[in-house]
Amino acid sequence: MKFSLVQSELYRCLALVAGVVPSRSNIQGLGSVRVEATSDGLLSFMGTDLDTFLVTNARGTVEEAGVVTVPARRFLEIVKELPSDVVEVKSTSSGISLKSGQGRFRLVGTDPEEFPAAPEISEESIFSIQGDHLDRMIRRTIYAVTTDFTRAELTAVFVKAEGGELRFVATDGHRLARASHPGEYPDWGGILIPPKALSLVQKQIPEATESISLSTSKRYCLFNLGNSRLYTRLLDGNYPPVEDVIPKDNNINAVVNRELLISSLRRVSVISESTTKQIKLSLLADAVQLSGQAQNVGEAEESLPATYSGDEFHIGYNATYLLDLLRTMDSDEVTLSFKLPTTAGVFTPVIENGDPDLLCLVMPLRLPGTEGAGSEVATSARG
Amino acid sequence: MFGMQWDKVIAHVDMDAFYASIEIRDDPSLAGKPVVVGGSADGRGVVSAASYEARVFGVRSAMPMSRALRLCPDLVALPGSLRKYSAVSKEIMEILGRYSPSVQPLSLDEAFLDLTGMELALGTPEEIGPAIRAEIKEQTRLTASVGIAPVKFVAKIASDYDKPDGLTIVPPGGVQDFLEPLTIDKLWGVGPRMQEALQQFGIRTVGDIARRSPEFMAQKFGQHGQHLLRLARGEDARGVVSHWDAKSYSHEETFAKDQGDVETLESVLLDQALRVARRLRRDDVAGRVINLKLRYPPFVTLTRRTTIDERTNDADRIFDVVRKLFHAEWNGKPVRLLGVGVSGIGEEYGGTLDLFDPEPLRQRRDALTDTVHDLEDRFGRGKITRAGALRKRSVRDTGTMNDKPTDPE
Repeated sequence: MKFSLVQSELYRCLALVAGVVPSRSNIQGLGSVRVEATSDGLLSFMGTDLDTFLVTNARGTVEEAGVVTVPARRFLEIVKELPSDVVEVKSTSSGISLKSGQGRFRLVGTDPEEFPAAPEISEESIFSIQGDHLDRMIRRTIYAVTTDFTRAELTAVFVKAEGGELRFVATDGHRLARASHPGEYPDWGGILIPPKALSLVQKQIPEATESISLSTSKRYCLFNLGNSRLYTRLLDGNYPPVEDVIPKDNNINAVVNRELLISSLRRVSVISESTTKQIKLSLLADAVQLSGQAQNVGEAEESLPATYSGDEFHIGYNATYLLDLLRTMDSDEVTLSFKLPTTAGVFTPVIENGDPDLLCLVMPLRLPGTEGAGSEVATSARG
Repeated sequence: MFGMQWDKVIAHVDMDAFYASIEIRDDPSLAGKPVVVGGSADGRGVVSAASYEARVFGVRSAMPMSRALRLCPDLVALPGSLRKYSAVSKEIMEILGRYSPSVQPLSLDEAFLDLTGMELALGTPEEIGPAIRAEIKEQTRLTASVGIAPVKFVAKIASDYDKPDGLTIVPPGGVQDFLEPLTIDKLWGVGPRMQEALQQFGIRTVGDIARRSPEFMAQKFGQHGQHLLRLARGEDARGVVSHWDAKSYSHEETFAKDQGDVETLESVLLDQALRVARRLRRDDVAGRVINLKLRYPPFVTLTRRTTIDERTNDADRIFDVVRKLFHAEWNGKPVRLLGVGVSGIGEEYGGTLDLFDPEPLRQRRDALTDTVHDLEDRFGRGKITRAGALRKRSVRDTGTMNDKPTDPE
């Protein structure tokens, strides 16, 4: 095998692949990148951690077709330091040699035969979506995926098409985010995509307007991202019936400016118990009031103008949860909707002429007085 | 004020041969006989408690039952009833609770009490000590030994000083004189190894340590040496930690016969999760770190823990997590010991509610759990439990008395 490619392009490909390759592994060859050159000038770079396979392509000058596998990180480190010039890569009996300007490097490789093969998935796509829209769907859900391995079925983003919309759902059992993208998507089952793969997808989205398609097999899915393809193993398991837990009858509604709410939450949460970040959110006439209190720290209270005319309503929240979801919205205003201080609150962006394309649900904090005994001791922190 | 001022008043109350004394109280024909309570000699039973008559023969608690029977062939060995002992223990802890809001039980039969500042309400240590002993005796017909001192570990040594049925008060000015002649094994943290090492330097009594320099103790025995020196000089800043501040709740059991059946083991875990949850709930606390302890015969012990996203005291949640830890770890071979623990303790409130566990449902389950606990309190453990925890009875019936809660300290 022998090919040449400009340094910047070679570096881009290796850096992408290195993002998948595990830095430490017991499995021989897993720290490697597989490089294949075909006689039509196509160069393909592949790396894997066995759950995710990433293939990215570039065009170069191929003098001799062939395949090599070499340690990914070392290859990347060398290329990173090369001058921005054409790099010539040639296979040797033990690996590869690199030539660039005055530099000569040899890297010992592994047997390409032992490199795991990417899963076979039909190229037929289930859906396609514009790059920036996919990026937003991921950004709006990925933060809510649980990291608690004891809730294995929640450690992925649930992706499905329903009612013409494409939907991404993530939850950790305390909050839930559902991002929708309108279209004419036929109803389609639902797959569980691990968040690691989705953040890799985010990094590879080529152009905002370029279309990205997804295809699936029983155990894998494939993102077609222009020059790159990302295969990832799907999580096995049954996602809980999330539509059932999204309240339909929250009838206490208020509208407030999103940016003001964010900055107020940040200030008030400075004075809250460090572990629970507990704040009290109150709906008063034409106002949303936030208050925080922590023993031996102090107290905080702020009021924001809001559209609200109902009875006074108080609910406890972890401020971090609210900040997380508010940051994923783009709208000027946000609708807060509640039913009881012990049931889920729903936060949606206010969108002119149209349904909100995002629904964020957060469970409140357990407040004293919401059940029987034992609350005395806890009251000091919440007022 | 007479003599030196009491900065702190700490009492250590230790029941005399607790389990055995209860058996003798309930069956007067046993009086004067060597009695032990413990597991059976053909299983892996050990002595949990020995009457003073049995101790004369050299029988001690934690000794294998088979050995105890060799030492004393006339020994009356009883299986005991943890339920009965728990009930008596509860009575005693209630009595202690009348003397101080700060009671730290170390096990069913001993506890520390902080009596600081009680002079006006209850009297001097010289008055409170006899009062506690008299009240315990009157209400339970059992004797307790009590030690009172301004320093925690000194109170513990004092309760043992005139045992059984004794009271020893060490006033603030008398701590040094009290400790001075004691052999070093009386100090917390001095085991046989340490004792041997200290003796090499001619250190036999607590006074011998107290006379050494901090430099010497640090050089020869490191940090532990300095710690011993502080104890020997009567310095122990530790206060009484009532159950409110306990850092961990756990329950573990050693099986009479190694268990390899998955359903039985899961049933044990459920039972233990229920017990741990019960104690957490009784204290209105919850924890975020779930611990599993697993021992393969003979002594390969593994502990695994995981942190969950919100504090819990829900038996179902604890069981769910610990079962996953177990299955991630278990190699399918018979197990000698299983234990479930919860740490990372904090107040019960302040957790974000669970989306998939609606509050009304959770409250109903909580109410059910509490009802079961109440019934257990009234009718005894084992009369009512989860169906899933039932299989484990076959384990327990042949079980040893090692089945007691592990202490936070």
